[in-house]
Amino acid sequence: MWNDLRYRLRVLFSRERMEKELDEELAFHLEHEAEKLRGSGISEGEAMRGARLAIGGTVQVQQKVRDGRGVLLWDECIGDLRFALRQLKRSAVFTLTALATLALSIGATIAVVALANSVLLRPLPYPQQDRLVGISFSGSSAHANNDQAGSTADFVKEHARSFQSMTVYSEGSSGANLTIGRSASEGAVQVAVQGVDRAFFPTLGVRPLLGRNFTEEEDRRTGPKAILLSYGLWQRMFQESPDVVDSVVKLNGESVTIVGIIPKGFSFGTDDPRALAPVADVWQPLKLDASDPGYAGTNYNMTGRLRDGVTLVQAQQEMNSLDQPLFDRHPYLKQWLTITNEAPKLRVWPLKDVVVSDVRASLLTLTAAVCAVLLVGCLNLAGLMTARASRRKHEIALRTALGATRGSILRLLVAECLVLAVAGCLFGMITAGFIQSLFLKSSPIVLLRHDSTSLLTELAIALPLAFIVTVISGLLPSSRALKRNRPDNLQAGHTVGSSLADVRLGKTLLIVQTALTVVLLAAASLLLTVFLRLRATPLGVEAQHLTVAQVNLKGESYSALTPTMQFIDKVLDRLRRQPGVHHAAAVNGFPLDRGLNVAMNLPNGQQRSVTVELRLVTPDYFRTMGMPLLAGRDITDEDNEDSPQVIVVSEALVKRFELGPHPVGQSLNGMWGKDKRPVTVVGVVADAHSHSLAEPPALLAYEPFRQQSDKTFKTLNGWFPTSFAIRSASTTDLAGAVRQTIHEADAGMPVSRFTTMQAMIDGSLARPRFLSSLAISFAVFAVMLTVIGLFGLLSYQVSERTREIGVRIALGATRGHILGFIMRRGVVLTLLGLAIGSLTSLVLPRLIRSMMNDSVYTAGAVSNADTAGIVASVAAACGVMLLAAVFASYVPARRASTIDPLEALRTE
Amino acid sequence: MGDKKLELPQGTLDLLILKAIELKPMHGWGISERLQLISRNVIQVQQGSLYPALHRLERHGWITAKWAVSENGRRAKYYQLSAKGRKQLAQEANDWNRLAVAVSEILGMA
Repeated sequence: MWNDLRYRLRVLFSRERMEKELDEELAFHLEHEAEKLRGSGISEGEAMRGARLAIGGTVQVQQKVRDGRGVLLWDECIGDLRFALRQLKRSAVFTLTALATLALSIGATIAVVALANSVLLRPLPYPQQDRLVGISFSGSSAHANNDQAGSTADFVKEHARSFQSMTVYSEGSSGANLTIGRSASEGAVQVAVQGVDRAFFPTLGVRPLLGRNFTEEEDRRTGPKAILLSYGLWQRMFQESPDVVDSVVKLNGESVTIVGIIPKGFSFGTDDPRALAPVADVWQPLKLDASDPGYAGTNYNMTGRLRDGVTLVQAQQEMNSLDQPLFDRHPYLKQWLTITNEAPKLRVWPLKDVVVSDVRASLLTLTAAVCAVLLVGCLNLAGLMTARASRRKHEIALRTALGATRGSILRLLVAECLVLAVAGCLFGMITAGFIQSLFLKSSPIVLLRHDSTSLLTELAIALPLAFIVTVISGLLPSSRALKRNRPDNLQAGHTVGSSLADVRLGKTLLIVQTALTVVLLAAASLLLTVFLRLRATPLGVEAQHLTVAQVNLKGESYSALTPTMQFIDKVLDRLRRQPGVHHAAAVNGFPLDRGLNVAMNLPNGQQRSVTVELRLVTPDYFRTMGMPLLAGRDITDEDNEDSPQVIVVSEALVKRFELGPHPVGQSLNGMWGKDKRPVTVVGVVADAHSHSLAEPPALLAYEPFRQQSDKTFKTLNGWFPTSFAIRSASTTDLAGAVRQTIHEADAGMPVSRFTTMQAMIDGSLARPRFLSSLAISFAVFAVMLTVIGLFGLLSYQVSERTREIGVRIALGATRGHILGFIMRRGVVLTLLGLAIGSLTSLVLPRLIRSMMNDSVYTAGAVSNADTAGIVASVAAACGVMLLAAVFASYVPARRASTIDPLEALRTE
Repeated sequence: MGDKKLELPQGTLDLLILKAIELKPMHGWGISERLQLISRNVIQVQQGSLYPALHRLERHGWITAKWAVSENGRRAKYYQLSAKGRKQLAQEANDWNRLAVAVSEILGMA
């Protein structure tokens, strides 16, 4: 076997020498044979001839030797490829167009598939990551998540046996002010802080690069204050100095000790676009305590590592058995209803599912879309190849007559397509790099788990793609051409018109292309409609001339009512005195930003409680925001610590709580922390969206800042920023004034965010906008491809039928007649494709809904995409395609109609 | 004698070539002459099929080739048996003999 291989390699590399040797060998043989014959008396000339006869002809012998060398197949393939390259060079326009479309579609496919692979398929970068699970307290229709309430998390920690370790943490990070050195009024840097318990890093299996994890005391309310730094922050702020461990810095004015540095590349964070940063810069002990105001609400997350030998199913079973004891321990949970009106239970999910659940549907849909575009590209190429194969009928017949086998002809025909596919893939790999970096830069979708794709992955995706493209675009038309190979194709004579089968294949390909393009167009149009509808949804506030400034009132100095109110009052006072400012107010929990969820009991004896969004406001908030008061009164300065507890509710809350037509004056039971507090409704305000425009208006309840307890401030200020809303005249530029004002109120307090309401709205729409523009670009690309395909097909038909058209014109058909004739063919084909595509599009909403159910869109938005919406999208798509088809048909038709009959009759 | 020459059964050419160069290396023409001589012109050896066979044997590694100067001073390609070739020759010769005996027996019995 090795000898064989060595021999073959020798042939490949020193072929010329071997041929020369063979020539010499045969010459030697002939010489001797001739001599022998001369010796027996035959004449010179006859002797040579005799020798040649004896050997059977040198050329034949040489050919036989060559055939036996074992590289025949290789030689033939190389020959085919060379021939294909020559052919392609000859039709440069076709080659360039095909290459361009292939490079783009393959490049996009590689980019998206690589992205989907790294985000969705790659395992989490932690040791034995398949043992990590998320433990949630959520409804049965929820996506994979690990949201927990403080009470439920503690209960699970106490009673669950299936996990070798569990950790509770808060998912997102909030802003905090970090200062090094003594002076608290200078150099405050805003950092993203995440609260995690001491089991967080050990559960994941992450050990600090330097220093250590939190100790048990540090995770207690009364314990020493410690923080962990991220590698990035260590690099940026401390220049990777190892002395930083055990040094003291000030976080929100409090002294904390840095106990360790987390290794580089730690990527466990959040992909909520509203979060301050995807991954935190600083980790603080969570210090979970039953007295936290948010303890009773789902403001936490929980992850666990399964014990050895315990499966996910077993863990879920244990959770099921813990539900009842949980409700016994915390009876208020029995009355809880989620947003979707379900009773929540304890559930376990693989952590990977939890991490990717937000982007999964989007990425999958994107992959499907890009594959559809690739398919359109392949079909396009197949159509063009069919036309080319048709033109080679004569050549194929000739080759067959000269002895080519079916296999070798097929190989020849496929060679062109293979060259295009491989070249397309190579260019595609280059393009993929660009496409991916462009995507990542401009995408508002946070993709935490991605790192740049290796060349190997790209190759692994590109090679099968090349194969698939060749099969679809090359094999199909080529095998067709082979089947129709008949001996009478050898005739150099002209066939009038093209064969029926040829045309039918071309037509079928085009119809499928059109159908696919229609589906893409309809999808794009549907996404666009939803996006436009979202954009048109009123937030519930007057967004014009509304500016927002946010600060994080964190630390000991703001953990009580008095200092917080002092700060807010000072800032508001100065702001109101600024020229151009009409109204100013403060709120904890700005629209489209995060705020506190609390549980409130439904009144009138209903034994259920729902989650309500609680917002703390100053007087004049509603006027500043432009939210009309529908009943009762606004909060005033008279509502303070000493007066009865008041609350202003939104319309949606009135409806949900069924407070009736006169809600003012009714009493509700608030519940945060452990204490129940009855509050009186003094006013009803118009609805506003809270988390996003896609969700229905939230159940909002507004309470005055002044009526909160110190404990509330300590927690709320720790979790959420305080926002100042400023309504001004249009021409005022407030940035400098606001920063000045805040600096005067507290010198060490940086402004964590300064933006306009409109910018925040646009930001919340970033994802839908991005997705719809992506869909549109795919669809446009597909339309272009189909137009090219239709154009190519019709042009080819016109050129094949030139004689026929000449005859028609000679017999009296008008030019208009011919024009219509050709265009009709194009339009009919398109209509067929439209019909199929439209039917397919009716399945679209179901497909898109799963994509929309990402955190971007919620169930509400698209289940409203009723039949009218779909029909409109499909109709729009058909309209666009029809126009494109008319345009594509016009040029060949025009050409046909201007055929000079005499010329036509003379052509071959 | 005087009948037409018999054609070689399939595959036996290889065996004959291996045998022909068993004792000493020979060039292509030499092998052809020797085969014709030994077989007393009974077997029809197509000279043309000799060379493809030689190259095939070389591929298998049973013979090796070397260029050398021949008797009359011209360069020729000499083929000689390799160690593997010797084994192959023994094997094939043995098989052939067994076949020949078996066929003879059958014919003898009928």
